[in-house]
This record gives sequence, structure tokens and C-alpha cells, in this order.
Amino acid sequence: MAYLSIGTLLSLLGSGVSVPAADSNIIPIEGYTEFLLWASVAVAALVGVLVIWAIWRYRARAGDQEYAPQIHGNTPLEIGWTVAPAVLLAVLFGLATYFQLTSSRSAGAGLPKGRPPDIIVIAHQFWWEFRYPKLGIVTANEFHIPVKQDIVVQVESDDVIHDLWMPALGEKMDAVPGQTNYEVLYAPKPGSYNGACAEYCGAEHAWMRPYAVAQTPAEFRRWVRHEKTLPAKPTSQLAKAGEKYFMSNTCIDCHTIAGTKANGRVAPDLTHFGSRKFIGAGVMTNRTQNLKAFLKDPQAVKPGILMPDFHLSDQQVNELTAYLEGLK
Amino acid sequence: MSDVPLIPEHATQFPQVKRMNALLEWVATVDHKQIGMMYLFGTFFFLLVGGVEALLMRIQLAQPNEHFLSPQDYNQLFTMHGITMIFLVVMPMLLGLANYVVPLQIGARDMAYPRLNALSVWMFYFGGMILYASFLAGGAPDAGWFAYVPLSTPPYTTNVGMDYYGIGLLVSGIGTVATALNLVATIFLYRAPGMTMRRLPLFTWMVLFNSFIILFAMPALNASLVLLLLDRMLGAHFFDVLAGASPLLWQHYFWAFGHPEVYIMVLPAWGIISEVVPVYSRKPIFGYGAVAGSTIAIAFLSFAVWGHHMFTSGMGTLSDLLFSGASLMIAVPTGIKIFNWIATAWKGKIHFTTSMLFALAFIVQFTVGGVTGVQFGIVPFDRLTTDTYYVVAHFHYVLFGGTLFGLFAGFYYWFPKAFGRMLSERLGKWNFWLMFVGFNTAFFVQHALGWMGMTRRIWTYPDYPNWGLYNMISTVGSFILAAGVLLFAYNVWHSARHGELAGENPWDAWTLEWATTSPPPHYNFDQVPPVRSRRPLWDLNHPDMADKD
Amino acid sequence: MATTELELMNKNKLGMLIFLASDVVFFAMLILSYAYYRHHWGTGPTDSVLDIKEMLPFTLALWSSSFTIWMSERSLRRGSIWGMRLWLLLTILLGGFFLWGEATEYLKLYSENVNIAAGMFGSTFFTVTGFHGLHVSVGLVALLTMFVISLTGWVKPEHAENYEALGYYWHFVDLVWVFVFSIIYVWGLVPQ
Repeated sequence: MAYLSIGTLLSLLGSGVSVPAADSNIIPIEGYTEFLLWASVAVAALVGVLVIWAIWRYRARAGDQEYAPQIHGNTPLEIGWTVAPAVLLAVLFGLATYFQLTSSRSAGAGLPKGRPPDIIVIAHQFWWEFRYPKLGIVTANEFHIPVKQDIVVQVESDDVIHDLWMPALGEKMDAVPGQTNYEVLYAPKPGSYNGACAEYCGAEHAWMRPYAVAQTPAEFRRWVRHEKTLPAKPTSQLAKAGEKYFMSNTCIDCHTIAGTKANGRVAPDLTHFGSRKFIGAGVMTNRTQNLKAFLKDPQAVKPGILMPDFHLSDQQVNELTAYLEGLK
Repeated sequence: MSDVPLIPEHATQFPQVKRMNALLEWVATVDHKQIGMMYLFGTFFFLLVGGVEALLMRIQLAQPNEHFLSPQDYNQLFTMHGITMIFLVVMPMLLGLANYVVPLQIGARDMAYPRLNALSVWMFYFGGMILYASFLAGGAPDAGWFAYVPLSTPPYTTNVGMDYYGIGLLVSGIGTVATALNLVATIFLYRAPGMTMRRLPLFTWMVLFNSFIILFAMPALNASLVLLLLDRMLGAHFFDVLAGASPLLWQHYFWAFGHPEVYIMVLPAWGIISEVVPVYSRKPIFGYGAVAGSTIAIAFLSFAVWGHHMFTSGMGTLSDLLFSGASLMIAVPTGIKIFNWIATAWKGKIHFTTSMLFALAFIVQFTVGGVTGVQFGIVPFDRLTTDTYYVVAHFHYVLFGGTLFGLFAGFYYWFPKAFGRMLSERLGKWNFWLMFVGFNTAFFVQHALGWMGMTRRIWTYPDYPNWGLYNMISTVGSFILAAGVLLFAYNVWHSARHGELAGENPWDAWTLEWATTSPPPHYNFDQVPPVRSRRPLWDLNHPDMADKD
Repeated sequence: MATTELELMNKNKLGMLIFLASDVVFFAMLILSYAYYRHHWGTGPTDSVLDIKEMLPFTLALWSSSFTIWMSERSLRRGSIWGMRLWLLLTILLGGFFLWGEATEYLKLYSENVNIAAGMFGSTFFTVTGFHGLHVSVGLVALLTMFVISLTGWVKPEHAENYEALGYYWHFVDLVWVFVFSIIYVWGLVPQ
């Protein structure tokens, strides 16, 4: 029902938005949201129709230099259009406030009592760190959640203000340094969901895209088990060389790879990098050619990223690519 | 009808640049009409600059994964676009128009403090120059016009742009306060005999309350900028999180200015509509008291709603709800105005001049921006749509579809008074329709883009379904809009020299500015007609059916 | 409406009142930041570096200058140019004495490495008192100008209204100090 009417509404807007499919990044319309949108359309349409009617009905005929009847006002009428909007607004306010105060999915400041966070997300310029305190796992940019459950997310920042937003999964909330906020994500069905950083945070605000995978509880448990296991040690000659290069250079000061001496927290955790869908918080899909281009010059792929261009040779790029792709 | 004077020979009002010392006459002027013109030409120049910035952004956004601009360039452009349009275009353009029109409307010879007035216009120019000098000094401001801390403080800003932002806005901001002070004193002290406060023309009325908002809102910005500059330049810690600062303090301070600013940018436009719609409907304004009174309510409420910019910042539920309630309340007095304007046109005899077309488009477009504004006043809804293109669509409907369309209505209405010649109606119709179609094409689809998850202030975006298409539509619209604005510039250039002569009162309007020659002499009036009601010229021309007050 | 009074008001007095009303907001924002951050001084210096007893004489001097400028205005209204000059000179001396006191306090704090970059207290304290001091300085320049002009003999009793506009400014600066002094020095007596 809800999508039927959004379909009608948006086709009015001349848009082709349909029911959220895989990779959804569309705000769902339901409950008070739908009411609010229709009320708004009605008010705007009323004004539009009145203006167009007045234009047509009361247009001056050519050469008509007469005055119109000199009416200065009508108090009952004016009281009417003061009171009617006030009533409509009071209803809207009541509905939205009721929703905000009773919904288990309202975002806010500070964690609500009795709801420890399922995920702590720490925003960085320009990537997301996801920590699952109850499960003891850490991941970056891509995170998984079980479907049909309220997931309480505690939102923090390591530098400037960011904002975690998964349009199809819930409200957004700012990640403010020195403060904790929370939001609740809810995935109605399995699938993947695109998100964004919704508070301007600097050069690469555009490429700071979280990516969520919603899974059935069984699949989610399998993912958690996988995240807890250490990635396989490299076997090929190339990948081993890549590991050696990684561990003997400054890579380890910023990145973490579980089970190795790399434990930096400035840049994304790479423990299971090979199994992620994107590179650079959404800037490219995780494919061999893309990864090579990224390592060759991160600033060319994602200008403004804090990772410098290390001027790696093609050989070093190939080694690192082999190593990183093997981290599954 | 009183005896209508013959249309006089066209007089040259302003010093012509061809003359030897004309430049000095402009630089040294303290005449409110010349100063108003200096504001209007300066702000129109900045409108073109800000417009070019917007077009560059629209080219970059026309398709996904575009590399026409770097993110650093894009971030400077959107920051400067916002600052330019708000501080160097909309606000001073309204003040410039007020500077020209208000003394004439109240039958005064000039502003209360002519020299302070000259200072103000130069502060505006210097502020603008300082802001744009940043491009030469190593980079324009790039932390957004709202300059959220800590992004706007070291170590997160890498160039000096934000220093130019702070100093430039302080300079122009002090000039703005001085202008507001001047307008208030002028309206209090220099009204023609008989013009009581309750008989003020609505444009002047709105400018008066607009000036009050400026007087109490701008110092909040000035204080915020001082604190930001102290942090940036002298190592103070107002916004240093490690020293115990809260980033939300900046947001409260900034929006305590920033939301009244929204009303500063729209009140005088409401005044223009309240002048234009009655004149071209051949009817008086419907419910003067309601239109004037609701303005007072808005002036007060505008200071109690800033928190609706912070519903996602984590202020706490009580603050959320209080700000939400206040924000919704402000829609009531706004709605009153819209319905009163419609009722003014109702049963009228509507003349579709270019000015009236802009005014009618204003009513509809402003309403669209208004209802989405109400939506942002609702906390959970705001948390869905804020910081997306839904917001971009919303405030462009208010500021462009609203205020700038209102200003264009005002330009077509008052141009004959200032230049003694009519703007070409034929070019005007083209001007209007290009802007109307361009504006709605550019911005209406942005509602849908926001709903589809497109966030603001992103220099590029992934190839999600329909994003590329909608952005392309928006870009095409923005170029149509730009063509409309350029056509206006041509119309002014052409009509100022070749337009039909206007005479004193080409629209048969009723307020005092139409009771003197076009253009008015330096001292404005030979003789101010008696003021016995809100429409002195109506009374003069229709003594048998004079307004009762 | 009360507008009839406004319509008859001296334009300089009205302008000054409007400006001061606007300036109230500016000072309110600064003082508010001091009050708000009073609980966030962290590891830096605190208001314990201040001594209310040292600032008290200068404070009383500033406040009494509100009386002397009023006397000066009264003298001018009554046609006594000499009285006006004398009370004005006294006002200038009292204002100067206050600024000197402020300067000595600043120097003492600088010698203890308390400056605007020294923690949240330093930032808020120097900003609030600094902007007040700036206002006093501007007022002193205006008063001095007035004094010099009065020596030329151009000032006449009919200028009393314009002179009062300047008086408004001076009273305002004193009034702001009431709030600054209460919030910084008197509140400082209350342990945190």
C-alpha cells in the first residue's frame, strides 16, 4: 500500500522510482511520512489551483481599465485560514511526536537505557570503522546485519563531524567528536543497502559510502564466524612478497590486519579486505585492475584521501594486490 | 482623476560615466537613490558570479563519476556559491532596493544618516572583495557557508580561505547592521505628515521588521566569526574539542543567526509581493492588518526556531520537540500571507505584466518551498531528508523561486521609477518564461534525488539508477535559468536607453514613490501629497471613494 | 502608539539606542560562551588567577564615570560649558584609570603565561574582557574628541541632545561591565 502511493506520488513528480530493490538507497515511505507528504502535496496543490483559477477567472480583458471592487478584507475568512493550517500543523506535530517518542527506531542523543549498542561506528576522514562490541569483530566501510531486527548503532567521530545514513534502513545521525549519538537500523528483507556520509566532512565527503549487507540470521552467523577467523596466510610467491613489503613499511602504522603486527587505526581495517565489495569507501568496486590503480596512486583515484601516493613500482603494486586480494 | 501631468522630457538622474568627475560623484555619493543603485548593480554582478559557480557545479554533477572538477575545486565552489548568494546577493539586493524605495515610499528626502549609508555600501563592496581575494591568496573558503567546526579550524582546513570568510563576512556584516539601523531610524523619524505606522506601505513595513531581525541576528554571526577567527589566528580554544569545547556551540551560535537570516532574506520579498499584487489586480491588499501583523509574529518566532537545523546533531529530545513546535508555528503567519495575496487577486482585474507574472510564480513556488519547510520542522522526517538534495530543492524554492522571483517582480515594477523608462515587456515575458521553466526544471527533480538518497555537497556520485538522468535534467534546467537571467541584464541595458518613457506613475499605483518624477529629483519630492490613508494617490485620484484608513 | 515619542526623538540618540540594542546581542554571545565553558576549563588555568580585590577600585572608577558624564551632560544643558568640560575631563580620567587597571591585570596574567591560547579560561576571559576594553577605548576616543571640540568653543547648549547620545554609549559600556564583573569576578568567588 505504502509503495503503491509513493509510486503514484513520484510518478506525479515524473520520476521512475520503484520499490527498493537490491542495493537500495531510497527512503521508504510509510506511516506518518506518507501522511505528511500527502498533506504537503494537498496544500501546495490547493494554492496552485487557487492561483491558476484566479488567473483565469479574474484576468483583465483587453483594454479594460476599470478598477475591481475595492475589498479591503474579510475577517471571518482570514480567521479561517489562520485556524485551519494551525489545526493541520497541530495534527502533524502530534503524529510525528507520537512516532518519535514511541518508535523503537528513533535516533537520538546518548544511548537509550537498556539498549547497549550492537554496532559502534567511528567515522573518520573519509571512511567508516564498524565495531561489534558484543561479537568482538571489527570491519571497515562494509558491514553486515541480520534482517528484521532493530540494530542499535552508536555513532562517534574521530575527527570532524560526519553523519551515518543508510536511506533505506532508518534515520540518520551526526557523528560528533566528543559526543555519542545513536541511530537504529532495520532491514525489512535480505539484500544490500547503499549509504552515505550525510554531513559535509571535507575533500572526499562524496566517497565515504558505507555499504550494508542484510542477511538471514543463519547467514549472518556464518559471516560473523568468518570475520572471527584470521585470513589465510599467503601462499603464492607474489602474495608473500606483498605481505613482506606491507609488514616492513609504513602501511602497518595506519592499517590493521588481524593476526599480524599491522595494528594502525588511522585507516581502514584490512583483515578481510579480499571479501569486500568496494575499495576506498565506495569509489571503485574491488577488482584486480581497480585495486592496482588505487595502489599506484590513491590521490588520482580518490583525490583528497589521506593515504599518500607512495610511488610504488608496478612490481610492488602487483605484490601488494596479490596479498590484499588473498585476505578473505 | 486629478490632472495628469504631461510626460516630461526624460531627465538624466545619475551621473553619467562619460563625464569627467562622474566617477567621483559615484564614489562620494551619499544619496540614497545612488547608493541603492550601487547596491543593486554590485549584487547583480555577484549574482552572475555566483551563477557561474553554480553552473560549474551543475556541469560537474551532470553525470556520475565526472572529473570536470576536483573535489577541492568543487568544495570551494559550493562554499563560495552559498556565501555569495546569501551575503553578497540576496540580502544586500533586498537592502539596496529598500535603500532606493523606502525613503520615497514614506515621502522622505533621504535616509536618516546619509554618510553612514555610504559607509554601508562600501562595507558591502569591501566584504565581497575580501571574500573573493581568497582565490588569489591560496584558496577560497572550503568548509561550507555554515563553517561547521572542527572542519573549519586547523588542522582540518588546509588553506587560508576560512580567514577570508571570517574577515569578509565581519566587514559586510557590520555594514548590514548599519543599513538596518539607518532604515529603522528613517522609518521612525522621516515619515511624511499623516503617515502613521499603521499607514506604512507594506514593503516599508516588512523592511522595518526585517531591519529589526538584522539588528538582533547579525551580531550573533559577528560574535561567532570573532570566536572562529580567534581560534584560527590566535590559538584560542572555543571550538577545540581536545580542550573541552563542544562543536555544537558553534552550531547553536551560527544558526541563532542563520535561521533569522532566512527570514531576513524573505521578508522584503513579501513586501514586494504585497505592493505588486494589489496594483496589478486593481484592488487594495486583502487584510492589511493580517499581512502586517503576521510579519511581527514571524519576526519574533524567527529567533526561536534555529534548532531545526540541528535535529541530527544530538541536542536531546526536549530541545528537538521545542524547536519543532516553534518551527511549525511559524507556518501559520506565513500561510496567512499566502492566502491574503490570493484573496487580493481574487475578484480583481489582473493585468499580466512581467512583474505580476513573477509575483504569481512567487506565490506558488514559495508555497512549494514552504510546505517542504514544514516537513523539515518535523524531527523524524528531518532525520530522513536533511542534508540531501531534498533540502537543496527546498531552499532554492524559497530563495530563488521565492525571493529572487520576488526581486524580479520588484525590478520590473520600480525600474520605470528609477530610470524614467519602461523595461521592455516583450523581453520581459521571455525573461520570465525562461526563468520559470529553467528554475522548475533545475530544482523540482532535486526533491526526487534527495528522496533517492543523494546527499548534498558531494562533488561526484556513483551510477545509481536514475541519478544520472535526474542530474542531467537539473543541469539542463540551470542553463535555461541562466539564459533568463542574462536576458534580464540585456533588457536593462537596452531599455535604460531605448525603453518607452514612463512618466510619474505608469502603473497607476497608490504609494508615494509614484507621486514624483521618474526618475525622482535629487531631493525626491517637490511636494508630498497629503497622506490620509494607506493609499494616498488613490485618495488623490478618487476623492469621492477615498479609503477610510 | 508610542511612536509619537520616537518621531520626536533626536536622531543621534535614536541611532545610538538602536546600535546599542544590537550590541547587546554581541556581548550576550561572548558572555554566554564564558558562562557555558566555565565547566570545561580542563587542565588549563582557571579563574583562580584573578583577584577581585585588585579589580575592584578600577571597577568602581568605571561605574562612577557614569555619574560624572551625566553631570557633564547636565552642565551643558544648563549652559555651563566649563562645568561640562570639567565633568567630562573627570570622566575621561576615570575611564583611563579603568583601562590602565585592565592593562596591568593583562600584563600580570601574561607574566604568569595566562593568555588567550591558555586553555578554555584564557580564551573566554580575554575575549570577553578584551571586547569590553575595546568598547571602553572607542568611548574614550569619542570623549576625548568631544573634549577637544569643547575647548574650541563650538559646543553649545543646543548640542546637549547630541552629547547625550554619546552618554548613552558610555552608560552602556558601564552596564556591560556590571555583567562581565559579576560573571567573571563575583561568580569566581563561588568555588566550582
